[in-house]
Amino acid sequence: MWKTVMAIVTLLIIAGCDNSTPSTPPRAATEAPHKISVAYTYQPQSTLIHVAVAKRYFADEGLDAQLLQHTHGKAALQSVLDGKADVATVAETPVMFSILSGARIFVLANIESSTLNNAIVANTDAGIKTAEDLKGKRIGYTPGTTSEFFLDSMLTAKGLAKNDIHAVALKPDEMQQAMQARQVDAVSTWNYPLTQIKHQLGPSGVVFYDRQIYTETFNIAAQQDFVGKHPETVRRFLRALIKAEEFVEKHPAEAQDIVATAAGIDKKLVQEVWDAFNYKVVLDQTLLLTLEDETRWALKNRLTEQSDMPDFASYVYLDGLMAVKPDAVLIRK
Amino acid sequence: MSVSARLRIISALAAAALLALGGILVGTFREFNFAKSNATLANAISDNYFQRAAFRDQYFLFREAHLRASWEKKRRLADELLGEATEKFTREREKRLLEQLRRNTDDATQLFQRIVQNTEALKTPGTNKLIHEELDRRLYSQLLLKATSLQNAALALQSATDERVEATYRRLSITVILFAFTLGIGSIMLTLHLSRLLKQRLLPLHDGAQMIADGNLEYRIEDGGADEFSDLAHSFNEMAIKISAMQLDLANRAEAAEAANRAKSAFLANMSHELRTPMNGIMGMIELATHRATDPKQLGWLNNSKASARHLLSIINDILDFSKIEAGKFQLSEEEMDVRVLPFNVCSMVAEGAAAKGLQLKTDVDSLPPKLLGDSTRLTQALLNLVGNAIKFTRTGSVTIRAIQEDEDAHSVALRFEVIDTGIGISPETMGRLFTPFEQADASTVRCYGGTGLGLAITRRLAQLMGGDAGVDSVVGEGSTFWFTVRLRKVEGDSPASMPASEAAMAELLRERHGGTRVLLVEDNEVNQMVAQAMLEEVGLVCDFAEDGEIAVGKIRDAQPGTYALALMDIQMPRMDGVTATKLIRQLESGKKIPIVAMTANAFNDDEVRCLEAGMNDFVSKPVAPDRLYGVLLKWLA
Repeated sequence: MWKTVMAIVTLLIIAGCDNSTPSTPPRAATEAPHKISVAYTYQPQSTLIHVAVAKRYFADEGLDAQLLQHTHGKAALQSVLDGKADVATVAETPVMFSILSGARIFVLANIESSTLNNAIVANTDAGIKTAEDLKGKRIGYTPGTTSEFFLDSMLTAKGLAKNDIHAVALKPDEMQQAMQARQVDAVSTWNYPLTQIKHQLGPSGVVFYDRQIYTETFNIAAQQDFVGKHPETVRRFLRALIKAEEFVEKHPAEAQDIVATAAGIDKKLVQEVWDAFNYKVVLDQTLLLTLEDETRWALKNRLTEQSDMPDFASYVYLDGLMAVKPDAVLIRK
Repeated sequence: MSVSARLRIISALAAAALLALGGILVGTFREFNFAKSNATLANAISDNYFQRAAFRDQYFLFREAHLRASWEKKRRLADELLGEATEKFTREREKRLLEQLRRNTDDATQLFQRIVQNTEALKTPGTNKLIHEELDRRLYSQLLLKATSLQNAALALQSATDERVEATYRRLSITVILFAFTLGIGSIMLTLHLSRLLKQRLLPLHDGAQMIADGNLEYRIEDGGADEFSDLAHSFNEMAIKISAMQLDLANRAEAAEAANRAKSAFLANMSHELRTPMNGIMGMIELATHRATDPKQLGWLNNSKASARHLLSIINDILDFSKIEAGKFQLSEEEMDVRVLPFNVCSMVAEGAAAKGLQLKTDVDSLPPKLLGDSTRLTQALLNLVGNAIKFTRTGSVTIRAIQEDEDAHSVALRFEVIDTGIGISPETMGRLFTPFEQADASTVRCYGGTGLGLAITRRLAQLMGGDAGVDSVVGEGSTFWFTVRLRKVEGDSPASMPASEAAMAELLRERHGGTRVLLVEDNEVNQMVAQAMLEEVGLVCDFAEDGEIAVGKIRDAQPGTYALALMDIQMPRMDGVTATKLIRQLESGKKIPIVAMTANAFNDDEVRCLEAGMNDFVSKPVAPDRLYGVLLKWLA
């Protein structure tokens, strides 16, 4: 009789605790791996990609990931637009410009956000002590990227217009050299160049932040055509990134090692900038708001030929993340 | 293990389980309440966010100071709520969301304040309006970003606390179900255990007890256990052993009592015989002497002797009667009788004594049925005892004998006999002892009046044997009424022809009808031979003698058939007793039909039965009363 009683009790307990756990669908061992080429950057914004590669999460998800490293997100996105890669890690500004210029892309997820990654680093020897001193100075920036948008925002916050300065267009990898050669007095850039230039300037370096004026997002973007044809690949890719997110949260020191090795950056530098970043795989309203905000700026400054605000929500692919981690989808279309 | 120990363990286990579950239940309930209060707090935080958002948007539209003040008020409330939440929220996820909320709230506050500052700056003359408007837009855009995060965090917190409420509620439900389930299962198991225990252990006890109750005292309840039921089984077995021993003891005692009773009966029979035989002789001799005596002086002495002998005989009869009654050997005969004449007969018996004391004798007889079935001798005896006493204890006045019919049904009649005297009366305390054997009113009574003190006791016993009782009503100085009641059966159907009632009439009839008829008298005692011979010759019968049974058998064998019309047979005789002789006579051709009447001092019913079984026809007890003998002779000579 005890066995019957125990069986009933067990059944009751099981019935009472019906917490089904989402699990990865079983994958046939013989199934051919899904190929995906990933255009990413060596920057800290791409940390989740670095970790996923190092921890073999892509392979675990049955992905055969081919990796194409770039200096910055705009270049990575370009390789997707050029058909050289399937997905890219890229900030919202290049995404916004691409959409304005008619690219048929989807944002699959936001993998990083920060209010401290963008700043203006200046040489005090050029007579710059405060942000207001930027007036009339030569300031380097990378057009079509967050560097340009942040520079504009910073100037506005300080009551300056773009024509109050001498804006000098530079590629990200040209900035350090330009500062060293005193071709510019300051640059609007991101990490790692930002911190590297600051170190390079030593006591002459000064950095102007404004956490409240801009929030950078780093995203996964892909051609809509690719997403339409390979939804399962997208899901596996996102699942691998979620695993990387969990790893980063639980083992930050190890993640820093991975990033330093993968990017060929001194670990001290990685650690110095680490707290500026928030690594979460999400899709929330921040992305849409920022895209719209930047579009207004682009339209006003005639940086695009478009004159209408696109429906950015239709450029966000929700199904992938919704299938993998529904809690992370916070966009209300 | 004993049943009580087992029940104690089960109770303790059940109590422990219920206590543990109860503890869990209370804990879960407290957790549920805690989760609920957290959910309420999260809800308040979320509400606060939406209220702030409303004031923020209104301020951005209208730039009015009171909207800013309302926003700030809500902001202060947000600080309080977040502070309270920091103390209450302990889970990692909740703490993380709280931190996010706090950071976003701070960011949003700073942004709002910058918007306010920028608004003020716009009012300053000479300001680059375009740039400030752009900044305003940019700041608001960032504020919306923070608000989104804030909203997400607030909703996530709310959802987290709701989940916790839901989870604790589910746990609470499960605990309640488990509690009820444990209670239910525990009760069922306890009931099953008890019922099985009762079935297994109580049933053999019940069966065993039934066996013992049915008299199977050798049965032993088998029980190998070590609990209270085993103790009970052991006690049952002990009880059976003791009952068995007691039963054996009782049987032995009963046998001993029976043996004592038999000895007593034998003694009574012997005493009866030994007392009555000489009395028969004495009275018979006196009777004979009275018939021959001519000298008046001698006749007077003889009459005195006769009276003394009669008195002695009545005392002997009383003692023997009482002994027989007490021994349970007393049996009443049932013959047709006329109760109406009873008072008159008794009157005639005592008339002489009453007249001698100058007492008036009266009879008061109700209208009674003429024929009833009963023992007239014993009824007479009972009434005579009362009347004799009344005459004895009354000095002047009268003694009245009254007979009343008290009750009647289809088969019987209840009669009441009263003897009313005008004597000294009896005190209430004395009345209680009067009917007790060997008791008299007081010790002086014996000295004054003599007697055995058995008369009233015998009357009461006789009345009781006849379905009634006896008693006395008395007032000291005014007299007493002694009474007894009896219930007699009615005569149903035809009755046999009645016999002449008086001795003289019967003697006359015998003389007329059977004068010269030869009768064989078998008697070893010479005196008794003489008495019997005189009685027989008085009525014209011829008497032959045989001194013992053997002679009697010889005489009948040798005689011509029809020589003896009847044989009177004593029982206790040397060489051959009457019973053996009768059996032998009945084997003779000439002895088959001869009526044989037992005539013995062995006056018990057992003797009568023994005689009848041996082949005798009737039974007359000694001392032989002439009327009884003549009645029997009339019956069998006919």
